[in-house]
Amino acid sequence: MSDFEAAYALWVALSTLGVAQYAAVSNGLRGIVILRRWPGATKVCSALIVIGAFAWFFISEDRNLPDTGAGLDGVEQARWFALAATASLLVQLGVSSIVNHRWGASHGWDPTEERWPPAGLTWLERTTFAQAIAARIRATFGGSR
Amino acid sequence: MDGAIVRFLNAGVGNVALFDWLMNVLVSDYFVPVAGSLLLVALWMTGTHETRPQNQITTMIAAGGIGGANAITTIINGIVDRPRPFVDNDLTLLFYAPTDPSFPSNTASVGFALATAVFLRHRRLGGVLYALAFCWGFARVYAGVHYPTDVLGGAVVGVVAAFATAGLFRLLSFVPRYALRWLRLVYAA
Repeated sequence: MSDFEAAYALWVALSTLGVAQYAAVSNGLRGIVILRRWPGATKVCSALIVIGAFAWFFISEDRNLPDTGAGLDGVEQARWFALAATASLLVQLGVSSIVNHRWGASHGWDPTEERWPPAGLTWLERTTFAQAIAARIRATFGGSR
Repeated sequence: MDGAIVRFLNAGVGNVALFDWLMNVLVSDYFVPVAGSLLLVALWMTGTHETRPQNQITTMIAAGGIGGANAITTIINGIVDRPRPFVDNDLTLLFYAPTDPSFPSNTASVGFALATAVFLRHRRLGGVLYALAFCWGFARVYAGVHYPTDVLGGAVVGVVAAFATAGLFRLLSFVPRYALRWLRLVYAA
């Protein structure tokens, strides 16, 4: 990995952290908000992270490098964006699942009454990603009944 | 006419340092694509249980539109080998000297494909993306790496690609619906 690729990946990962946390708190997806108890602070911190990441990337160095040389061409950029954004989202899902574990346990799904747990992002309004996945696995492989 | 516009705009390079810095950021290969992609990440998560799926389909259309615009541009670039404006004009480059053909502008096609795909569903957000795409195209002309008609051609390619992708998604609507159903099972949609 070149220095430029590392800088690009870090910029994307940090920006994705800010954008995803802002979107999550604005849309009530509390299970994936890391600072769940402080929605206002989450919005401010998220905005600052995005602005800071953009400012750092463009102010620290001249980023207009030839895409046939040290820069990234379209395909490389798409690949690095996907990799860095996915890694950032996975870290957020992991961290938010840990810090919200106790809150997420009271998600309201009773496996003795409903065969399948609710599907989709909407359920992350009431539980964490790890608990949602665990419930889905239990239901799929019959362990919940 | 095309060359005269580039020379007129490019004559401004070096006059106002702050404006040059702003153009230097905007003209970059990274600013608009990353900002646009981050907006798509936010759009994917936005909405209620009822409205979110449509936003997610819009995100897929935008991604498909960008891919389509890129492919069409690459094909046209292979047929129309137009030299960059700095080859035939005495310009001050604010960007590295690209080696691929000038027409149509790939950046404009990508920017306008993204904006059009989003505009079809969200007028305000689409409007913001159109403004970004326009600024990106303007910066490319100002920096001396594209003629205005390259940007115009790229914009047409982008709009056509977005409409074609939206039409394809409507025609094969079961594919994105099916994909979303599976993604919902792992809480990714």
